[in-house]
Amino acid sequence: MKTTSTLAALAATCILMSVPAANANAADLNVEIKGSGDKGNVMVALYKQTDKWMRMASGGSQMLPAKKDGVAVTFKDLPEGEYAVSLFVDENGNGKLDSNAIGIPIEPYAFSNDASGAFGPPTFEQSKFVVSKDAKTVVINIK
Amino acid sequence: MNRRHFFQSVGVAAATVAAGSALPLVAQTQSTTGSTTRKALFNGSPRMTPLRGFAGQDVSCERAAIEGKVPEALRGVFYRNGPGLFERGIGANKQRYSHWFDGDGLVHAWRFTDKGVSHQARFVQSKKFLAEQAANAFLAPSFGSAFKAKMPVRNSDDLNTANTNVYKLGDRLLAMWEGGSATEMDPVTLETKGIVAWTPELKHMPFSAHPKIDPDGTFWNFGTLMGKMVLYHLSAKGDLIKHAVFDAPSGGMVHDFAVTHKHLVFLLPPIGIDYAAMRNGAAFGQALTWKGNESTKVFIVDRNDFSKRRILEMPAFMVFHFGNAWEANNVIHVDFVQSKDLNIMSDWMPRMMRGETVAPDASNPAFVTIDLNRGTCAVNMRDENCEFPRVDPRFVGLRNRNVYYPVGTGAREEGWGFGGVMRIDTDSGKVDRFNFAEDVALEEHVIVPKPGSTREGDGWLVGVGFDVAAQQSFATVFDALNLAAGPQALVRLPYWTPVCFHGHFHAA
Repeated sequence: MKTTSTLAALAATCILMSVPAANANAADLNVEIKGSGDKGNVMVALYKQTDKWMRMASGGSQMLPAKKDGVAVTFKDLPEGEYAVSLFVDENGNGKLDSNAIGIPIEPYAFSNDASGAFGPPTFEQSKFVVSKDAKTVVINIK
Repeated sequence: MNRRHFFQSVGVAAATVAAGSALPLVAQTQSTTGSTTRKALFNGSPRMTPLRGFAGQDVSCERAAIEGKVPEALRGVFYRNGPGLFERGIGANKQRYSHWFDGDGLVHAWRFTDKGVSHQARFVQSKKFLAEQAANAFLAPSFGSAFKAKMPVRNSDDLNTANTNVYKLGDRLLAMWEGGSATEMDPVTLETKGIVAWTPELKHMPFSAHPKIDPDGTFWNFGTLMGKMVLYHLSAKGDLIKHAVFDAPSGGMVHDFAVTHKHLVFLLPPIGIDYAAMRNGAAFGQALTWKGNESTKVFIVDRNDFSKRRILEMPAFMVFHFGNAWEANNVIHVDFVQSKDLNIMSDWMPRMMRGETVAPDASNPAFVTIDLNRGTCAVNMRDENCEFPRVDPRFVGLRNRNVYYPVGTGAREEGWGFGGVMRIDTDSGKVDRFNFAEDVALEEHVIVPKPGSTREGDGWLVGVGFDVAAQQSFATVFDALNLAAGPQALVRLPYWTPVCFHGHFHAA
């Protein structure tokens, strides 16, 4: 079970900032996040199909204060294609997804499609959705 | 061999009292679940009734029927825990766990007071239990049944059934399951309060269901998960004193351990995990493999310094439960119950859960001496069939003489449970035992010291069992130094309950 090291990488990828290039066929992606609680910040990372899943989020990443009623972020001008979102709640504001002594996360996290793995992250395939020409909204529930 | 017709001699009086304390809720539930599952699952074997489990309901009985006399000084709460729910869904969607270890924790409190004996049992309201209760379907993967997960599994507490043992540490009643955190319950109401995190780093960490508690209340425990082992040292009040996390010296499952006044002592059977089988859908318990050509490791840790660790080796054998350990002159003495391999867990328990009344492989008292100077180990075994060894709690980690077990009465045809109780005097080798004449299935029995006494065994042996003919659960009270005299009291419920694994008596 090496999946915990992959999960720990989620923290690193979420703080990677990269600015997506403008595109002629660009659309906006709205991500609505529910169940974050109101402690700390929600760290959201957007992966493209061509990215190394859970390592490099070239779709960009955003940080916003957690709110009890949920939070929403927009990724602007995305090229058409397949994407997936990973997020975690940095409850103590230390900038990373905290883990216990054997690497299992102890702060909330979630993926698009509300996908879940077994003792580790789900795959990109489980988490992916398509962005086409029109604006798109995905809802993620942190359970 | 002593055979007493204890039930028969007092049966009439008991029936009268029991009829006066009817519990309609339980009676109804039991009759409805029974009618749908009894024949298909259990071929009508009345011995297997408690393995049907409950449907998620809590039960209570304010006044259990007492046969004989409960000693006036025996006062307190006998907490027990065990898997209480094995089935969900109806019709074509009906699911039944295939392994005994899978059921949701049902915590019992037998309260011995001046007014008599009451019983209460409540399901641990774990995250898993609440979600599955709402869905009326199993959603989380379990130890031994290959269900596909239908809820997110982020850590082992998402699967935590809290079903194995219960102990009151300070003010907190802890329901324990070895794969994840302890779950805090209210000791009075048995309400679930939530999982316990001793520190952020220890959140969702495994916390075994077999802590060892020094006579002064100092609490030792361990956990194993994903190739790591964690050790815990807590005060009698439940404050974390120290802990350590390191690479586990053995890969598979570790269920129990023992402590001396100087060391933590583990016997680690050669159990592997077939990860390929798990990826192909096998449950964790189904993916455990027996490596009989490897050694059982003797793992010894300094209580005062968890970094001081040592490993010795013995030929392969299986162990679930320990009685006690003590040491003198750098020689450690450990008693436990030994079986050959994983067969009891991997083959017999699923058969038992299907209602087959087959005898399990032998599990016998075993005694190991570990010579720390020479680095050698020697084992002696006896031939009684037994499990669930316990010792006088005043002698945990110290030189003890007596070990107590529920014991098979001969044929072991029963399917599950034991027909007698036994005390082995490890000095003389003599056995003090009582076999019920009636068809009973006895569980673990614990020693309750007599208030004010100091002599080992001066007190009572208290346990639970199931009366097959009456289809009722009961608690027993024996003189712990004279089991052969038969129970001093037998406390009978007007209903049966699912089988428990382990528990502790907390004196008033």
